[in-house]
Amino acid sequence: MYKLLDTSTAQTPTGLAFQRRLFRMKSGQYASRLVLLYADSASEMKLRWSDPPYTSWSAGQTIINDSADSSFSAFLDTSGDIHIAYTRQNSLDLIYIRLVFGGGGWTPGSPATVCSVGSCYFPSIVRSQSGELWCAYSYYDQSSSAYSIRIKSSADGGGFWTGGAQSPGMALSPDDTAIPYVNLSFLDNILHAVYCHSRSSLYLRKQTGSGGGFTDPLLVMEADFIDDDFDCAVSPDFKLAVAAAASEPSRLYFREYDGVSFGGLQEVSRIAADSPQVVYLQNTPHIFCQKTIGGSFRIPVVFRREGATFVESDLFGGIGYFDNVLVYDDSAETKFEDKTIQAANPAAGDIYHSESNALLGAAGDCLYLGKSRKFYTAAITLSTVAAGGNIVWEYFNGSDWVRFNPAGGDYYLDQQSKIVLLWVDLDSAPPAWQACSVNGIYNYWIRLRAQGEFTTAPVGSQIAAAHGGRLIGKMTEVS
Amino acid sequence: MNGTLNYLRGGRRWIVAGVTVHGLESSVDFPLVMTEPGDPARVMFCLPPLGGQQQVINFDQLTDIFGNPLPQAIIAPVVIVIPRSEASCYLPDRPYETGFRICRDRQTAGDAVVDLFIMENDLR
Repeated sequence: MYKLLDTSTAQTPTGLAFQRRLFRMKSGQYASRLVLLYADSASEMKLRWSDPPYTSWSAGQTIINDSADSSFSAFLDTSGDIHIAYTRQNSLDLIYIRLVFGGGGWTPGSPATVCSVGSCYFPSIVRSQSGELWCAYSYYDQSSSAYSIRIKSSADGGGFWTGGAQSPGMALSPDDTAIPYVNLSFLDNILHAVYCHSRSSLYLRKQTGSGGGFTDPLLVMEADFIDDDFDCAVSPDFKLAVAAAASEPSRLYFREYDGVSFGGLQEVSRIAADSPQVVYLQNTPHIFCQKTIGGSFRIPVVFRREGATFVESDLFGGIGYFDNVLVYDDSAETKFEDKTIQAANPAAGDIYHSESNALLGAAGDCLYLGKSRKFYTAAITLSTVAAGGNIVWEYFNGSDWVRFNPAGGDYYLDQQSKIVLLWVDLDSAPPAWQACSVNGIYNYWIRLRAQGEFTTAPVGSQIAAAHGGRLIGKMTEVS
Repeated sequence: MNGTLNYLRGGRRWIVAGVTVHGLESSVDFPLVMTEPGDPARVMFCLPPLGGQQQVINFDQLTDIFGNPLPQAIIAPVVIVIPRSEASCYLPDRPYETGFRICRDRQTAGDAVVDLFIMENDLR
């Protein structure tokens, strides 16, 4: 299932990689219910829920309307209540609010101020087994123009936070000019903070006792640049996993901590990745992320550990490279030419028919995009943009090629790069769309057919069934 | 309304015999959410299947032991798996109004056959 839930004008609707906002209720009358929190606009957060099989969702319920356009953090507790830490607009104070669960719905309680000095961003909030709340955040001190990670706790359910609202909280990281990011996790009921300092260094500090002290920082990994592209997870046998995506060079890393020492740093892949999400499924680490394949084109993938290595696979059969890309020149002796390999890579200007030297040269020429599964996008980068001419989009309905208008608006190969939204989402592909054989290849095909003559014929660089997806958020259960 | 009265109102029940279970325990749906950037951005819900073999049964695919087809939707359904052998079969999550997922554990070689007791529960 890949389904559009809502649109948003917020900067980070589904939050940063290490923040939680999708939850599943584990037990009781509403077991298996999913609850999603997301930023709907620059100031509003909404809540929606869904029961299995998750095909329909409740209407969005506005739960917060005074948020800064900055990401928030939340967790679901065993009673179904949701605890949220967010940055308040204008003041940039850090605010805590509890959504109380009852009768299948959630009601916002009274907000409490965690920190009202400096500027607070990107919180991570968790709760201990004894019910103590902990919240760490990126803190900016205007007087010193420095950022640091700060942490506070509340023993009374969020009403009062250590030192009071006027205290900036205990520093977990040294001052720095770059904004740091932090994730909190409980490993065997001991609080662990993993944070990114100076953009490239991930450190771990863990609580030494109930008094609030923390160990000296342990270096988890160093790579340029990680920033907010890291995530943590705790395994059923109490290991803390850290996954991080670095940008220069592009690398995806994984490392486990058993509570005493770290295992080796593992290079998972040399892909350019966004928003890694690490999860233990059946005690096996999985890392979900968005793989950049060129420009802003991305494919959601998952890496599953098998033995000493991680094995990559596409998350959805319908989002990825095309299985076949064919160019068809109606006037050529060899009408079809296979450009599948050229379409997969971003090399400039290598997708064209050798007769016309164009993707589509004249009326009647076609570009066929095929995949074994239904797909919902055609991400296209051109080296030469089309001028003049006209293009129609068609799918095969079992007997005829049927013209359709892409859900995201028509595209006549007249922009250098575009992700064409064929249907609203993967689940909205027309039921009538049938697989068929084109040049002896059986696929679900989309056809771009030229009508009229081009004054400038287009030439392609990359074509994939990719999207621009970012900011993956994983599901978590109770804390 | 108490439970006995509800029972007397005729909560519907069916026994379905000989259901073949081929779904595998390793079939994991792991929910994710993501953003597709744009103006406006799009908030997407994702439920990718991760390996294994998913088996979804819709109620209207079933016929009870008296030959009656089950309805398309059952309010707050309860599905109880009655084993016919030592094979372990179960529902990995709560049944929903139109059906349920069922699987066998990985130690069970080949398909397993079970009977199902399905009940409508309008107590909630």
